[in-house]
Amino acid sequence: MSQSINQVLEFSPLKTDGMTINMGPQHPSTHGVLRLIVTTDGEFIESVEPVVGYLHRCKEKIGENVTYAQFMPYTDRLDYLAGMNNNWAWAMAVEKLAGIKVPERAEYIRVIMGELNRIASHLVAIGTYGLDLGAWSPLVYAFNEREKIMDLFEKTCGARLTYNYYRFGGVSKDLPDEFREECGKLLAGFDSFLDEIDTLLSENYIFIKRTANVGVFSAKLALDYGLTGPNLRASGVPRDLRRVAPYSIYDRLQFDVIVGHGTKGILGDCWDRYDCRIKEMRQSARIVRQCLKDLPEGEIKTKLPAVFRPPKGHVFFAAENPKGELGFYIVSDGSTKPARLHIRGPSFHSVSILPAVSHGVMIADLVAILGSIDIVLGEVDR
Amino acid sequence: MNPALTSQHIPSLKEHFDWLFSYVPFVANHSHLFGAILLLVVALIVLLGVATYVMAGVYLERKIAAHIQDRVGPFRVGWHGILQLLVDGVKLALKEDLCPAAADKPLYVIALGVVLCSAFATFVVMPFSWAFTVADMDIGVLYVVSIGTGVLVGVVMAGWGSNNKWSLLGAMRSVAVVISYEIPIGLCLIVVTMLIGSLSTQRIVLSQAPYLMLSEAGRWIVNPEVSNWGMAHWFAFRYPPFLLIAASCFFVAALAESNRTPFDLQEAESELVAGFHTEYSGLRWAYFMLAEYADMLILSMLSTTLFWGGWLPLQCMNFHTPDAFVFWGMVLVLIGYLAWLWTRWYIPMGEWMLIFVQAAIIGVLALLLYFLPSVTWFILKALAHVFVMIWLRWTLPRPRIDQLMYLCWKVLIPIGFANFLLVGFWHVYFP
Amino acid sequence: MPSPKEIHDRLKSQFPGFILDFVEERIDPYTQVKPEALARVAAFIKNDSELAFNYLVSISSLDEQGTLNAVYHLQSVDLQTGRTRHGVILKVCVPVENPVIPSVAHIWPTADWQERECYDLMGIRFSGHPDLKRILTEEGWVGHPLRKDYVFPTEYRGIDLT
Repeated sequence: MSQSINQVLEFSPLKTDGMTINMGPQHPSTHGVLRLIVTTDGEFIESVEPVVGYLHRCKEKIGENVTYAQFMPYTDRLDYLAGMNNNWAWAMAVEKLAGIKVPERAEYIRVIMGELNRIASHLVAIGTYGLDLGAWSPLVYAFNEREKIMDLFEKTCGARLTYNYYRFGGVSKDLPDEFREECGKLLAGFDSFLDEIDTLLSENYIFIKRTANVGVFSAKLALDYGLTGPNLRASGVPRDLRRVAPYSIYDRLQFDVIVGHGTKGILGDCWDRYDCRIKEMRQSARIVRQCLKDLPEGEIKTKLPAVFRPPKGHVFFAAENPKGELGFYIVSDGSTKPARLHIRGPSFHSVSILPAVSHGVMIADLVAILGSIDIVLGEVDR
Repeated sequence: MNPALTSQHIPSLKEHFDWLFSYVPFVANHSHLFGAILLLVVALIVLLGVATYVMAGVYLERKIAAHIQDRVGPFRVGWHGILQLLVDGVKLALKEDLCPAAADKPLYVIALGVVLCSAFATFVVMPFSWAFTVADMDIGVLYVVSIGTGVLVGVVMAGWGSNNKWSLLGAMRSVAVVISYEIPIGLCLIVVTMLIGSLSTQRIVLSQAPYLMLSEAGRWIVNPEVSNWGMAHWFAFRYPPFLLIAASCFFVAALAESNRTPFDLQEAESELVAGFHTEYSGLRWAYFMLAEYADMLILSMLSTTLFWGGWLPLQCMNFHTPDAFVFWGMVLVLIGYLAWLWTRWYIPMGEWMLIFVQAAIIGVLALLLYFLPSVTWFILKALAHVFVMIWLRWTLPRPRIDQLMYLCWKVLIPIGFANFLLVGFWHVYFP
Repeated sequence: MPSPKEIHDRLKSQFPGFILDFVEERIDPYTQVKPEALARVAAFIKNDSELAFNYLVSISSLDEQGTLNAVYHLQSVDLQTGRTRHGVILKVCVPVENPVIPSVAHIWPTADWQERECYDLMGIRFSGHPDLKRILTEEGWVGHPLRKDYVFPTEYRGIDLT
C-alpha cells in the first residue's frame, strides 16, 4: 500500500490495481476452513480461487487400514451435519458389494433417521444462510427445531452429531418407546415453524433482493461441474436419486421431487437453491410421517459372520444426501479391509464451481453464493 | 405559530445559573468563572449519563435480542444478568492492549479520540427539558449534523490506520453510506426548520407546543387562549401524511448513519469480520461501541426533537380535540396489532390473565407518566427509537452496498425533495 | 438404453486398437481404455448424440501391482427428467514409472479438481491439465499418500512424529 514519493510523482497513466483479499480459512461465513483468494477491483470480484485441504484427514488411506465395519464412524465425520445419511450410503455400498439383504423394519428406521437428518442438515443450511446475510434470528429458531431432532437421535443411539448407527444389514439399536410420540410432536409443529421462516426469510424483501438473480447456475453449468442434490434441482433438473434410482423403500413412499422454478428471479439463482431446501424439508417431514405410520415389527439387523469378508470386485454406489450425491467406490480384494476406498463428496464439486461463477459479482454476492451452495468442509476435504 | 418563539428570548442554561448565583454574593461577582465551571460539570454529567445509557443499551440489546430469538440472554451475573454490563466493562479493561505491528500507530490511537469527541460533542444542543439545554445554539440542528459527521473522519482513520484490507473496505463502505445518507437526513431536517424558521433545537420543541408561553418572570405557563392540542401539534402528525413520511425517512436514514442493521455493511460480521474496528480489542473496542450507541442516541434524540415533540408529554386531556384522534388512533393500531397477533398464534386461556395483568401494568405506568418531568419524556422517547433500532437489527437481513445506495439516492432523496416541496406549498397556500 | 457391453462394443468399433477387452465384473463391469486415446474417447462419448455422457460422477485413482489406474464413472443424464439414461465405467492403466494420462478437464470441467486430487494423492500426472497442483495436501508436500509404498514422514516442520 505504501509507495515511495518518487513513484507517486512519476507521470504514469492512471491505473488501478486489483486488491487481493483472503477470505478464510478463519472467517465467519465460509462455513468451515475454506480459503478463498479473491482478487477484486473495488467491490467487484475479478477472480476467486478456492484453496481446500485444511480439513484433509486422509480418510481414503484410513479406509485401507481398517475393516469395513470400523470405517463406519469415519463416515459420520464426512458431512458431519448429516451423519445418518453418510452411514447409510456406506452401509448400502457395502451391502451392494456383498449382496446383503436388509429386513423391513430396519429399512423403515433407516429412512426415518435419514430424513430427520436431512431436515436437520437443511435447518443448519438455511439458518446459517440467513446469518451470512445479516438475519440473526432465524438461525436460532432453526437450531431450536434442530435440537428436537438431535434429542431424538440421542435417545435412539446415544449421540447428537456423529451417530455410527447403521450397520451392514440394518441398524444397531431399535427405536426407543417414546420415539413415536416425540417425533409426532416435532412433526406437528414443523409446518407452522416453516411458515414462520417463510415470513422471516423467504418472503422478506431484503432477503429476496440479496439472493434473487444472484449466482445463477444453468442446468448445464451445474451438471458440468458435478453439482448434485438441491444445487442441481434448483436449476430445473428433477434429479433426485431417491426417485430416479430408488434405493431402500423409497419406491413405496410418496414425496415430491422439489425443482426450482425461478419464482423470484432467474431459474437457478440463490433464492431457488434456498427455496429447494425449505420445500425439501416439508417433503422429508411427509416421508417421516408415512414411515411412522407404516412401521412394521421385526428384526432390525441381518446376522452377518463375525469376520466379514465381502467377495472380490468393485462397486460404486451413490445415495441422495442432503448436500448432493455421496458416492462410495470400493475395491475389495476379498479380505476384511478394503483394497481401495474412494469417497465422492458432493461438496467437493460444489466448491469447484465458484471460480466459474464469481467473475464480476460483488463481494457481498460471493457470500450469498457460497452460502447457497451449502458446503461442509468435512466432505470437501475428507 | 407561538409568537413567544419568534419574539421572546428563551432563557439559556447560563442565565438559569446566573439567577442561581444571584443568591450568593461571592459567586455572583465571579459568575463567569463559576458559570463556566458549572457548565463543565453539567457537560460531564451529560457525558456520564450517556456512558450509563451505553451500558444499559448494551445490556438491553442483548436482552432484547435474546427474547426475540426465544432465549433469555445474560442471566447468571446478578438478577437477570444486570451486572453483566459491569463485568463486561471490567473484562474489556483488563484485556491486552494490542496494536498491530504494521499499523499506523498515531492514526490508530487518534481515530478513537476523534470518533468519541465528535459523538459526545453533539449532546450539548439536545433539549433535555424546558429548562435544560447545555447550550442552546441558534444553529443547533446544523451543529449536530456537522459535528456528528466527524465520527466518519474517525472511522476512516481507524480503517486506514489498522493496516488491514478488511478494515479499509469497511471504512470505505462506511464513508460512502454515511455521506450519502446525510442528504435524506438534511432534507427531512429542512422540512421542519422551514416550517419554524429556526435551527435552534429548543425552539423546534417549543413550536410543537403552541399552548405554552413565557410569563414575565421567565417561567413557562399554559396559554389559556390556545386550546390544549397536545400531541397533534407534534411535527410527525402535522400536514399528514407528509411529515410522517419525513419522520420515517429520517429514521431509515438514521439507521444508516449509525451503522445499524439493516445497514451495517461496514461491520458486517459475516463478510468483513468486524469492519473498521476489526483490529481494535479490549477497551478500545469498548470505546467504539460507546461511540456507536452514542450515535444511535444522538439520532434518536434528534428525531424526537424534530418530529416527536421532544420533552413534551404524551398528553391527551381533552377528548374532543384533534389531539384525541392521534392518541386513540395509536391505541387502535395497537389493539389491531394485538388482535392480528392472536390470530397468528393460539394463546391458551390461562395466559389471558397474564396478558390482562401486563396491559394493566402498562395502563398504570401510562397514568404515572402523566406526572413525570419532561426530562423523562425526552429520554423515554429517545429510548423508544433506540428500542426500534435494536428490534430491527435482530429481525431484518442486510442489503448489499449497491442496494443501500439505491435506496438512498433513488428512494429517500426523491421522497425528501417531494416532501419538502409539497409541505412548503401546503404551508404557504393553505396555512 | 445401451448396456455397458453395447457401449463397449461401440467404442471398440470407433477406436480399434485402443480399447482393451471388456471386463465382466459381478457388479459394475467396465471398459479398459489405453491412456493415449483417452482424450479422444472422452470427447467422443460426450458429444455423441446417442451416448451423450454429460455427467462425470467421479475419477478414482487405484494403485494395483505396479500400475496406477484411474477409474472414470460416467453417466448420461437427461436434463429434462433428471433420469440416468445409461452409465459406463472406463479404466485407464499406466505404469508407475511414468504415470501420465491425458487430461479430460476441457471436456468435463469437474475433472479439473478431480484430476488434481488424483495427482495429489496418487501421483498420476495429467497432461494438458490447466493447472495441475496439489489440492488436498499442503503445498510443498513430498510424496503421494495413497500409494501402497508411501512412507509416512517421521517429522513435520521440525516436530518429531514417531
